[in-house]
Amino acid sequence: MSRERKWLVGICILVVLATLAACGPTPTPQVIKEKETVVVPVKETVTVKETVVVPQEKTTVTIAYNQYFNMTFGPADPPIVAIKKAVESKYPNIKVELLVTSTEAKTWHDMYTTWFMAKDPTVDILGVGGYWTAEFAEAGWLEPLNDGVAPDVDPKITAKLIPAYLEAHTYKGKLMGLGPWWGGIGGLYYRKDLLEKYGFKPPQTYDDVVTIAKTIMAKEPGMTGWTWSGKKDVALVNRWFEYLYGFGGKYFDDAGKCAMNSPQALAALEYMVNLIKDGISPAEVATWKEEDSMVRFVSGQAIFHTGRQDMLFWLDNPEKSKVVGKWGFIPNPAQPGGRRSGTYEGWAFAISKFSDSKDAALKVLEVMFDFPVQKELNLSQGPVQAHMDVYTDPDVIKNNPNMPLIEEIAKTALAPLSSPQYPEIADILAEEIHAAITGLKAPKAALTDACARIDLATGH
Amino acid sequence: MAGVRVEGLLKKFGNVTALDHVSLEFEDGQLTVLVGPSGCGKTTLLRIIAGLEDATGGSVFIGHEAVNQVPPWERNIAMVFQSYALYPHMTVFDNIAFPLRARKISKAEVKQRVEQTAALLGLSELLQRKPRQLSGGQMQRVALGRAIVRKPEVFLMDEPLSNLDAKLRVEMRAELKRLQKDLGVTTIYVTHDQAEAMTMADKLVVMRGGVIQQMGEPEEVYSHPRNTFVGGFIGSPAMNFIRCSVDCAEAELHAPDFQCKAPSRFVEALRRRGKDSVILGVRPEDLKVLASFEEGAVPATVYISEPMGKEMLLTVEVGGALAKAITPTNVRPRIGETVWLTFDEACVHLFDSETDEALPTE
Amino acid sequence: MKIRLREPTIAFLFLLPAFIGVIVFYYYQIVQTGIYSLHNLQHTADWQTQPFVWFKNYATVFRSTYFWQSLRFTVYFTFMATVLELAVGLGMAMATFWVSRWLGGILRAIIIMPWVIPPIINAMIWRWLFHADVGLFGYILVSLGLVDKPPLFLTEPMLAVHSVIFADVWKNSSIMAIFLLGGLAAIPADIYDAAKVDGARSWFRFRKVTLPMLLPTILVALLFRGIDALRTFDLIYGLTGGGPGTVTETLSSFAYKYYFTYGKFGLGSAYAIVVFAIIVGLAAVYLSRIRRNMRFKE
Ligand SMILES: Nc1ncnc2c1ncn2[C@@H]1O[C@H](COP(=O)(O)OP(=O)(O)OP(=O)(O)O)[C@@H](O)[C@H]1O
Ligand SMILES: [Mg+2]
Repeated sequence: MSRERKWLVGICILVVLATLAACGPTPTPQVIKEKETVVVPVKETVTVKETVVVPQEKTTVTIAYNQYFNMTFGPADPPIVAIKKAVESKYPNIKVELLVTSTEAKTWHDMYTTWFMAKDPTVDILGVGGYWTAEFAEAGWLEPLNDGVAPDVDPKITAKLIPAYLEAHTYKGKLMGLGPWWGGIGGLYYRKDLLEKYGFKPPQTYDDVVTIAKTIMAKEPGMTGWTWSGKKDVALVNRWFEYLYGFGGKYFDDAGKCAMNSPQALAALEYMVNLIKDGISPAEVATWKEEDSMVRFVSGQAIFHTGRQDMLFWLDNPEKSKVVGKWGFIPNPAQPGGRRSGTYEGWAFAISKFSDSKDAALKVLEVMFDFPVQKELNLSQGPVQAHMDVYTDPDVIKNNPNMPLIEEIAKTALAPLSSPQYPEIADILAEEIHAAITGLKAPKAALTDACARIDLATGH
Repeated sequence: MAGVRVEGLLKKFGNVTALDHVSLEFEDGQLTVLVGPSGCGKTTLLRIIAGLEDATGGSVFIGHEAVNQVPPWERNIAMVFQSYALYPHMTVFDNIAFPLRARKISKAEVKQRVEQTAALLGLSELLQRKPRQLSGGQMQRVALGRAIVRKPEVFLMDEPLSNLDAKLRVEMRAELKRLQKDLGVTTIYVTHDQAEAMTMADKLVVMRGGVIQQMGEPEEVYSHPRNTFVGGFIGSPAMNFIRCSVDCAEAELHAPDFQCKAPSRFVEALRRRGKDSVILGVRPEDLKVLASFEEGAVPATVYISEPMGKEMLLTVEVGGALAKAITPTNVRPRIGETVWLTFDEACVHLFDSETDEALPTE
Repeated sequence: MKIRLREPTIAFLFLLPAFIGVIVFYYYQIVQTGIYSLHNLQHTADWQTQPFVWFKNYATVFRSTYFWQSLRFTVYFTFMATVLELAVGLGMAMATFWVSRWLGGILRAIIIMPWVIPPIINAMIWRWLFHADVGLFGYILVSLGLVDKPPLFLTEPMLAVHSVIFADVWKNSSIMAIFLLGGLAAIPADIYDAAKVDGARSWFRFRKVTLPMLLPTILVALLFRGIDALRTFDLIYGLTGGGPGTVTETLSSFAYKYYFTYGKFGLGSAYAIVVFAIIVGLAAVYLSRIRRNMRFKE
């Protein structure tokens, strides 16, 4: 091989290598700007039936939300249609458009950060996950709704929304969004028939659950005690928060340091670990996502199940469920000194700092959280939602007799851990809690490590 | 050592018949050359003998053993491929050693035999080189070395010299022949270069379209071709053929432009046959070209003249057909000139005009 | 005046646009990532005011026990996955190559299948197969009487690591096989025939002829697959989410998480650069080792 060729081949190899290595794990800001590479936004233009010819130019307000905005599961229009109709009649000059996002939360989140960093003015109203509020607010990407600087939300609207949730979307004293639009809350499902058969009342404390489960499991062979979602994932973190508060622990101390290594927290994690050790929860929980974890309960093989309220809507459907009429749903238990808590996972709506029509956006936002649209939403999708009056509306209750149950649970809503570092904290917790329930780490070590890492991430 | 015999070999590739009931005997220790035009089935025959291809019908014997069911690696045959098929990742030493190592021969013996073979072929200096670093002739010798190193019962060589230049080819031809005689291994040698065939063969086999045309010693095939194909194929330039009518009463042959006496050794056959046409074959080297008329000479017009060193190849027009003749260089007719042709009747060949078969002689 | 250029020079000129493209699009970004990695950049704060922090981000990277643990896992995963993929891929390639044309076509189609399935779907399929309640593997093991309860493939650390490797082997053996099929097809048929008449039986032929002649292809395929495996992310994430705990956390997940999910661009860039350096380093060592074998033709 001649010198020259050696040299050339060397260069080629280096270039190939670097290229190969660079394609993968080297993210760069350039990538961020090309938002098309991250997602394929589906712009859906809905032709609004115009009854009046409006001479002025219309302001377009774009809402970013996932495909569920186009769907209905009950006797009402899909949300986007309901919103369009309501806005149309109130503000003929405003045109509403939907930009469909991913349903996958991670992708959805990363899509937003991409837009924000590019200061993209397209989207005016954003559906945001509860725990994104703090992060986005800290970065200055959201428009505060009560800071005395227009646009500010009409107090008549907020007066009707459940205060706990308003608080959940408040960051450093400023209201950053309205929600939940669509909320999910964890609660405890139990087998009413079995508990009655063996003379138990629905459990109040975590110890009750263990006692009941042990007794019934001994008498009903093949029954699983308690199922929940323990895959290394947000679902596990959500469960962890419920146990944490149920045992009297909390996220942070007053100085903002991680408090999840407190004795209460340790008791909570030890309780979780023991559930598996004692066979009340099978070791498989550590592999289950929410949808896997509910299988045994729905097929009549589990006594208790912790999960969101969504399941209510079809638990009495004989095509899907083997426990029709045999179940109950109550707020999660708590130990003495603890708080009965359901992790609230909700989607709120906020206004982008980079929106080019914030005033119109606020008007649309107010319409979305006013009673008519909220009621329509309940009839079409029936979630846990912000407006108090919905829970007691006769049409709603007629359509969904479980609404009083949901109201009970909704009261136990636990405000999400509010930190701009939430994504990192959630990952840390998922790793450490999962390590504990799979026996890789002692609970104490897991919590100590978790808090050390969380304090490092939040700069404490 | 062993001879090779094939019986009723039939080979079909789909609807192509590559070998059509071929039966042949390759005698022990002899070098048999297979010749024939491209696509006539030579390679196919070798590959079947080697076991690389299954025959559609018929059988192969090596020595007295039928080997149809024996895989190639158990046949104790060595083959030299047209492309050499050297192992590109191995040195010359390893290439030659390969057949020995495949047979688990001891290291020391491998070394000794490879070196001995290399010396025989003049490869001793090249043992550490890779095939890519060799010339065509050297690669050729490595391929041979790989074949002879383990003293097989049979050599199969498929156009082993076709990639070499003319000079090297002539040299290697001689070397190969000597080597074969020294080793005394039954050898089947494929070529379509008929000069190579003539010089090397103990026995010559001429094939066409999967069918054996003639087998015999080279001189015999040359002087007594069994049909017009063999006559035309063996010998260069090719034999001239002229269609004649037969006058049995006078024992004369009538071509469009001339007539001649039928050679006496054919008269009986012609008469017995009773047909009125025949093909007359004369080799260019048997045609004598004269500048002036002689008794029995035939007039012809010079069409092309090609000097070939010590001889001249003339193409002449005789009665509307072209014929070739070889003359000494002292006769130098110009194009368009009229010359006179004669031939010795002892040298002519007669073939049946319908079957192309040679007529029997007394 | 005519300028006569020598062949390598001409080749270089032809490659120049590609080089420039690569330099602009990759090297520029690598350099920029390098610069970011020296700053304390976060998406929740204004970039202009963020301080230059020297190698603080790198110190964070190297002090993280999680990083070292995932480096160990990733290297182990890469080694096992590529070696097994080579073995399986070679088997598949040989099988496809030696059967009849017709059957070979079908086999090729079957072989390519796992590779065409998107990684995330692949992960779902495997999650189902490894599922403790309804998973096929657990069922088979129980039916065979090897265990009395389906093993927890994705939560027992040892099992999880090897389940992940297994799934990756299943998926990527096919691309290995396709690579190798290309290499096999390039070996002249004459060489095999020569080996047969030279008395080599199939195993000897495979060892002494097929394998060495395939070696350059194998080495390149290993390099490509190796680099790919070092960067694996989606299949493992879909299967175990990096669990149990952080046992199957891969190297490339760090850069991704810090950069995109946590918005810590400085630290994310430091992770990216470190991973990049590790991959280039390993590849360079590998290349220097195999250089001789790459060029038997000369
Ligand atoms: N593998 C094959 N598949 C189909 N047809 C084949 C195959 N091998 C040979 N043939 C056909 O069989 C006939 C004989 O081929 P063979 O290679 O034996 O010819 P050959 O006499 O060696 O010719 P050449 O002098 O050109 O090498 C040819 O018509 C060829 O096309
Ligand atoms: Mg041939």
